Amino acid sequence: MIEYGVHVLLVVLFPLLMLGVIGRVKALFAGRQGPRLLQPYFDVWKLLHKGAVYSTTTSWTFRAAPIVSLATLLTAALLLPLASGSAPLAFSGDIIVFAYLLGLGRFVTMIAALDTGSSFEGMGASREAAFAALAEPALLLALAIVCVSASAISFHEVYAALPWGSWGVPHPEILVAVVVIFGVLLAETSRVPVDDPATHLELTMIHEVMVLDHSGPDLALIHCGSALKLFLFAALLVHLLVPFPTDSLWLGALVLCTGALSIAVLVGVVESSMARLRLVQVPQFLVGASVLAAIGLLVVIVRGAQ
Amino acid sequence: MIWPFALAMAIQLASGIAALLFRRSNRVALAIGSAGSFIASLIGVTAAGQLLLSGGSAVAAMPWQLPVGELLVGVDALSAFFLLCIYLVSGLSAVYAAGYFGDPSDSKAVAPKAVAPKAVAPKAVAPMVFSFALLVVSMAGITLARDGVLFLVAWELMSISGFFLVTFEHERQEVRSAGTVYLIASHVGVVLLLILFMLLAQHGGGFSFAAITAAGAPGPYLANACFILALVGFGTKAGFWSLHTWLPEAHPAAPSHISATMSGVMIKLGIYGVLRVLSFLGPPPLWWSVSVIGLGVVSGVLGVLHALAQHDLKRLLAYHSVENIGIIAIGIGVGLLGQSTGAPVVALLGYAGALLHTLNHGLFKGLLFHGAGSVLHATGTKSLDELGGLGRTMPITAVTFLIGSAAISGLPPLNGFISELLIYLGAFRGAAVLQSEAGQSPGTVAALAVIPALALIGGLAAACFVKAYGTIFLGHPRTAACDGAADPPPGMRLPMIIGAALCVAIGIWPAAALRLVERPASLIIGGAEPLPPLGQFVAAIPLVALVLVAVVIGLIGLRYALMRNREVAVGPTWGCGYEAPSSRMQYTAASFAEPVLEPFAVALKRPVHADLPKGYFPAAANYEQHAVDVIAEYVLAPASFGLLSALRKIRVIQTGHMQLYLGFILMTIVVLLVWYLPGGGG
Amino acid sequence: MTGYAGTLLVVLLALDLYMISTSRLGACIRATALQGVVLAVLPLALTGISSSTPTSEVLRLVAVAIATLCVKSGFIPWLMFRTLRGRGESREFEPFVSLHLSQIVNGALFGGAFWIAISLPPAWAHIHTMGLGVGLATLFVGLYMTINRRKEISQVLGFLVLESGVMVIGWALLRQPSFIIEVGALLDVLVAAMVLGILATGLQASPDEAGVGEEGAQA
Repeated sequence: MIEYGVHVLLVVLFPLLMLGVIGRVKALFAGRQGPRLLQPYFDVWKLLHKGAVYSTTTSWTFRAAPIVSLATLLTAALLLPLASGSAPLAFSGDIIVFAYLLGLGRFVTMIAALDTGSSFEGMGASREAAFAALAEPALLLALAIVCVSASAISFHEVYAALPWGSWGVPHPEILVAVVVIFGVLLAETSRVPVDDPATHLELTMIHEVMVLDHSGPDLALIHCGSALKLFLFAALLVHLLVPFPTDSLWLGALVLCTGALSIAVLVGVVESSMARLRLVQVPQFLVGASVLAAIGLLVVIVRGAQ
Repeated sequence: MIWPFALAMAIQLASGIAALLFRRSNRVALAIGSAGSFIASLIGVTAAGQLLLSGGSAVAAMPWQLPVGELLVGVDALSAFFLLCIYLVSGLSAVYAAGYFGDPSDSKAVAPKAVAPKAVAPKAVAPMVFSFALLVVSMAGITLARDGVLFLVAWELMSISGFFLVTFEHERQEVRSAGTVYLIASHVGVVLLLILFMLLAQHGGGFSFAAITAAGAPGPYLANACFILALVGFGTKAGFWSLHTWLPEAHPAAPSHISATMSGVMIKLGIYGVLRVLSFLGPPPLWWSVSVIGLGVVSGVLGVLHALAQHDLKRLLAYHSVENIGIIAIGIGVGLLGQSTGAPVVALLGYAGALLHTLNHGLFKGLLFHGAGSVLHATGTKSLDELGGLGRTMPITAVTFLIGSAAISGLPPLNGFISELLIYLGAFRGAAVLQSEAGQSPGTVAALAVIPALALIGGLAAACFVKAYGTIFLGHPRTAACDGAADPPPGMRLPMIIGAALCVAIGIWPAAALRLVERPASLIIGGAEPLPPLGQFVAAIPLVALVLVAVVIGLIGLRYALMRNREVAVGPTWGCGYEAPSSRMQYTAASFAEPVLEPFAVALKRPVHADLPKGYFPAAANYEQHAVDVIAEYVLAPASFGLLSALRKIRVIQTGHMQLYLGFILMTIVVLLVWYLPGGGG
Repeated sequence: MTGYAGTLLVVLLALDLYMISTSRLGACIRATALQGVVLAVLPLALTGISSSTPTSEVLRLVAVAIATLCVKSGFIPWLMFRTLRGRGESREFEPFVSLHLSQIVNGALFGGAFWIAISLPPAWAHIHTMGLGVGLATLFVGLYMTINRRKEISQVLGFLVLESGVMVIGWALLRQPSFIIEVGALLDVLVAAMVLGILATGLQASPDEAGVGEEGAQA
């Protein structure tokens, strides 16, 4: 019971802190002092207290989309183990349900973007469709690496089967999976090099332009959703990289939070040190990630055949 | 147990013939036909469902006049499952047809204003009603046939009635040529099926399925030959890639409820044929599963890529049928993989996923084609670039189309996700089983290739349907065709609502649908060991759906509470300060698909004809882009032209002179006499 | 120590993938330099150094590593950067097969290489399977780069990658560094360096002399 409480608490309260950390890191690289770490919380609070402006072209789809996409992310959060080794909803096949719930959120966001009848949102939606179609195979291949080595299709079984007992021997396939999932994180949460979240030129945005017309509490829900997506991917990475203390809940939560914040710092560093890829190069990046994950799978097969 | 189906077939056929008798009055013919179809479907669905849940099978023999074959009919779990699909989709389509053709003055599609400004006498629908009845009866006959000859007769009947249905609007040139393509493709398949059944009959000593099964599994050469013949012969009907070129021509040409039936059920009879032949052939070698998985992956990916490039709604949906047949083939491949490696759970998951996807696809493709028909009915056009903003004027069509789109993209918590989940689980388990035994690399690679392939297909399908739904129902109307659009009459609304409700129901409570699939899947796998119930693999899905719905409701409540006393303003969409927005500034379907298709340019050629202004000043410009079907353009067209020009050389003997033909007759008689008589019979 | 061989081999493959996916020549050259570092450390990881190894063996391994490092990560990249600067070009224009498709083709080549490595008959059981797979894959990638790219520098890079692949195959087959293989490989690399040197100085003398590829078309 306490486990579930901690899980829900982490899901609701923690993700926005990651956005704050990323902003701070980017500011430090740029030589500025930067916004305070808790700034995203204040932003969301402000937005929740505002009214809204809706476009005359939009319909119920536009009003429903922020709710449905945040709901899919919250449900997906219940499938992913956070502070302990297993999640509130754990069953065989939950990895696939997790990936497809994220897909449902994307679908609804894209439809809401087309609902405004504006070419900016249409542009964002079509680019998002293209990149999402290529990022999904990369994500599932990376997850397949750890699933096939563990012969299980559920998060808690996969995490339990990770080879932490033999620390001395490195496992390159897990490193490959981690690198590929990090690449997918950059693509799905619209970070440089795939998309620049700080630009406000409509022609260069992807994710930002899809939500251009949302305002007020809708926009607050969308911010929470994107922070939550970042947190979920970071949690996935932390569990794969670090041997998790499954016996103590608070120690697990501490490790998770520290790990997630380090990943936020890493994202900030990557964003500050790379330029955004040209749009035609993003599919190459994603296909390259898929091929890298396929290499990892080949290594798993070779290891199995030896 | 066969008599309910016989009764259903009799009622349907009787109503078809009665409709022909009353062909003077369209209303009466349509009413009789639809009522008969509906009653037959009710009987068929309940009988099939009962049979699937309780198990059992039966065979019966009836007197037969022809010298070859016997009239053996029978029903078992596999037949019952396909009968369920047939009657479900055809029943919904029959009700839809009653609404579609009911009041021709109401529909822009039946009497399009652009074609004939003067009043057009409504077309006689009685032949179409009769052909529809014949189609459903022949499809049911195919699944009930237990004899090779009867099977082929029913297959041929299905093809021919399909031809009459496709060419309903035969006054249009493109419909006539689509019908021709369909007829040729069907018969190419039938030739291969003839050879297949003759080989099987030779092996079994008779055409009846009982004799063939009793003769045991054929030797490796015969089995491989039968496998390839079945795959190509039935694949022509099913629409595997490279055999699919007739699908995007025939399905758009037919009226919408016919497209729904053809896409939803008729092509699945190809799958039924493949599964039935597989059950004759014994334990499959590994290369069968690898080749079926490869075929499925290619069909799925190329099908959805071509769908993305289409501007015509029905052609887009037809290519999606190719894609979903690819997914079903992947499921069958995973099932074969399980059978050849002795992993019955993998086989169960693969076949169950394939069968469930057959049912699911019938439901949501029927729903989508009905939605396309409603759009056509309301606006007179099915071109995506002429529509827009119909969600406001046609809310019910929009909501059901949205549910169908989400279902076909495989998104939870709808039914498409359940069948894809089963196939994923089968593939993972297959890879895990094979990986622990060394030396099975092609199988492991095939099983692992299923995972990114299904993910890619799902992502691209979602992109395609966001494009289709967004272009048709969202935004602003792009042309005047959308004026006066409204939701269709209740006869057309009801099947769409029922279809959408079933999609949601199977998605949220999959265990019930899986109980229908268990018996057919175990029948295909054969073997004596009991298989685990499928419900355990999807036991948690209702809980996840419940959590999702609960969170949605909670967030709706939260937002309502927040916005209660807030100021909510409306205004035009932000256009970066541009003062005169027009509906043509919206994203078009082609522009939406462009970034998605660009990385795949090697697989999909889209020639562009652009006449762009030169110089510095605005001038008239022209831009045209269409998608080229690689198989049709670069394989079939050159082959058929080559064949025709070769045949043209032979045609010189047909000079039209009577004397020459008499001379041929004389020559033939002389040759035969010389050949046969001296030896006392050659 | 031996466990790290797997990680090093995967890093090698990842560098191969990076080189296929980028059109920036400078990045390719740096990737080759990194591959040189990996190749230098690889024999140490494959054979392992423990307390029982004789000192002469250890010295030899270290000497070979340093030599590989100097040549492959120091001298050759320096020479190539000089050539790049001399020509003033920094990007590979559209190769024969687009970069998108190249990634897929090379993925298939990786798969083929691993399949060959797995399906060798049992008489070859003593070889390091993953090493052979990675070596073959690198060799295929080098060949592919040589065939696919239009500029001479990229073709020389492809040749160097091919060379690395051959070295890895040699170590995988023999399981211990053999003097002959290393010397042969380093000599080949030296030949490549000389060719490059000729290219570099040759072009500085006559910039109008069009080589095979883009320069003539660009002029």
